[in-house]
Amino acid sequence: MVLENKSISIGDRNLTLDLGELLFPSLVLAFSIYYFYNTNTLPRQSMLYANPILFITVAFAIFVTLVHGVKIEREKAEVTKNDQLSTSAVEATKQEEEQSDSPYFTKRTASALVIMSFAYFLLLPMAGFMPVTAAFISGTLYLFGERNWIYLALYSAGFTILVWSVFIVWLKIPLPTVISL
Amino acid sequence: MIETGFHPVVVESLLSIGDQTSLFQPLLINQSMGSGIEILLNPIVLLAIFIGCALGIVFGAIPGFSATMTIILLTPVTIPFAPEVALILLVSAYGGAVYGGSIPAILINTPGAPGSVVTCWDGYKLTEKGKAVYALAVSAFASGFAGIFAAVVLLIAAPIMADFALQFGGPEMFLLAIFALTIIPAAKDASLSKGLLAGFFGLLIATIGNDPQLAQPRATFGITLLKSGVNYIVVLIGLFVFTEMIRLAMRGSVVSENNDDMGEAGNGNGQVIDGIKAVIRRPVDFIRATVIGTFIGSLPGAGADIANFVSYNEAQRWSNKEKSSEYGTGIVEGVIAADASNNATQGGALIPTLTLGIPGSGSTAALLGALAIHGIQPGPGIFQRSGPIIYAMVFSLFLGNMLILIYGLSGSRYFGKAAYVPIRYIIPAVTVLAVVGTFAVRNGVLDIPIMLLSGLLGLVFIKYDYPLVSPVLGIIVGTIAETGFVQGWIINQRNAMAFLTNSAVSVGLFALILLSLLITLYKNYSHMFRDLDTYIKKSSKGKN
Repeated sequence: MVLENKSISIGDRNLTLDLGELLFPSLVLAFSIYYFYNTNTLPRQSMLYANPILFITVAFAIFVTLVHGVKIEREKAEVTKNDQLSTSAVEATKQEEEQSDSPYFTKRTASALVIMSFAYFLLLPMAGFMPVTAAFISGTLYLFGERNWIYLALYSAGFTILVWSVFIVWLKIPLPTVISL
Repeated sequence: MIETGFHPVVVESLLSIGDQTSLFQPLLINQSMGSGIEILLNPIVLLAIFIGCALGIVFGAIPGFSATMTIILLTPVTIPFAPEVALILLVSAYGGAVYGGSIPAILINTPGAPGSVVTCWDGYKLTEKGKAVYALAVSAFASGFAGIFAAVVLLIAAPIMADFALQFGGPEMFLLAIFALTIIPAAKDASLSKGLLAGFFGLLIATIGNDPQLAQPRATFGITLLKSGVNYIVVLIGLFVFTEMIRLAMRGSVVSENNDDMGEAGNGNGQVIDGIKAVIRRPVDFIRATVIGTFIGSLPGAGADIANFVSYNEAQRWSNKEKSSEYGTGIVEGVIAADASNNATQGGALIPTLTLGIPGSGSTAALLGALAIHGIQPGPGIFQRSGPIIYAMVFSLFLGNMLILIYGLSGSRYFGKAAYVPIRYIIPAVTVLAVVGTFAVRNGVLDIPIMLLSGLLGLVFIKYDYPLVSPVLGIIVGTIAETGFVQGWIINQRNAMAFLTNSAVSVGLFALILLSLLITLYKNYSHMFRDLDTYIKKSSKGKN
């Protein structure tokens, strides 16, 4: 997961934005803005602690943005290019360490796992725990390279029944099926 | 009368420990200890220790499965159990999982958990030399006894700490919460600003829900479930379980499924005895590693992953030149340094967790959740409130670590086979268990997307070097911090100086906060100081 850096020339200086480093501070700032507008009409006593925490969090987010997310350099074309090349090499090495040689374990399959997990959550109240869980397990097994249909079916059904037996029959702990807001 | 299977005289003696006429009475400090031992005599509790330890070793031996994940995934299963059975099972599983990570580290050069990375360096080299069983015996013996040592420290220090913490008022609890957040970047060698941003974000998330003063909803997105706030267990599951599943989905298994070659094992019994003797003959190495592990474990947010590196570095530093150069080539001192410190973090991490309600590691953060589910409130005065169960938990560490010795010395090669379970079977199963476990926290389906989103956030954290434990710790200590701040602020009539100097303890805590900030700043910018020093020296030479 590498986000490209963006460079902007301002006079003889290069302003480089590391979009990856800006991800989390931006998220924090966006949440803080929502938090502020949601709470600015609340009584002072309700926000006695929360307001200072909010402002300190925003201050840290801005600080991290400036220290890690933004670089201002004097424009030196060759040095800048070498820096970019060495940064790319470091990023490439990190990516290689993260990625496997198998075609079934890639960023694409990881993204599919995330999407399937969200779909699993959305479908649970519609179709019930057992069918959705069995479908999720068989789908992810297929995604990660299991092609033996017997193993796929046995594992999906078996694990689902095991979870249901342990949680519902033995422990009497409810399983997720109903959304109540 | 419970059938314990022990001789009646033994049972009678142990059960009468709290009694004034008991033989053991002079040895004991209070009746809670006696009640704790009585709890341990329950065969169900003993079975929980056996099963918990074994489960922990199996899960810990699977690469990608940490002790934190083990506790998180077992917690929902233990909800209907009696509190003592549930908590003792989880504590035993914790110890087992921390040790279990060393088995694949030694056998196949793959750490089962972050706390076992360093074990690979010398442990696997020993396997390559045909001494796998020897290395496993060293690991089991060092781990088991280090865990027992740390349990002794916990037994002595925890009641003292819990009683001392009773003096903590509002300002002290607030400053303690802030100290816990500031020490994480120092312990994890992370960027100070990133560590504090993550921690304060956690504090802000903790304010979501109805405020404790006037019950006004803060940032609830109009969702009823969020009126009771964001549950830290949900965030913990997302950051430590779902994030790891996504990473496994990207990189696959680090273990070849077709490779069943664990190297030459050699003669079993002879190597086991040699391994035990090797640890006994190196008491200084063992004690140093154990003390380091216990101390680092007691620091909020720092666990086995830090302890094993620090211990290994220190062991190398303390050696003579010749021995120092042998580290990494397959020497027993390397395995002792890694594994003794690793397991000692268990007892150390439980000290702040039980006595202050501040987790000493990610694993104890998960244990905090289990304590809350079973109605145990950690923090100052815990031994007064729940003494028998807490003492039972502490004493179970002794039994659990002895079991680690037994399991490890007799069967670690077989536990190591768990490392070969194909990842494609683990990912969907663990994801389903994460979803089920998230729902089980408070029967809230909307906790599930919070868990999934936390998992995605965890990826960003790992990629851009934010400490994973910081936001969780922020959410955990958020309530303590808010209550302490509001109380202290009002009592001290909104005077900041009076707040900070409320007592000697608050002054001490404030000094500790400044110290940990300075240490982290120095670590982060030491290269600038060195460059400045070099520049000054060069300038001086030039002038001369």
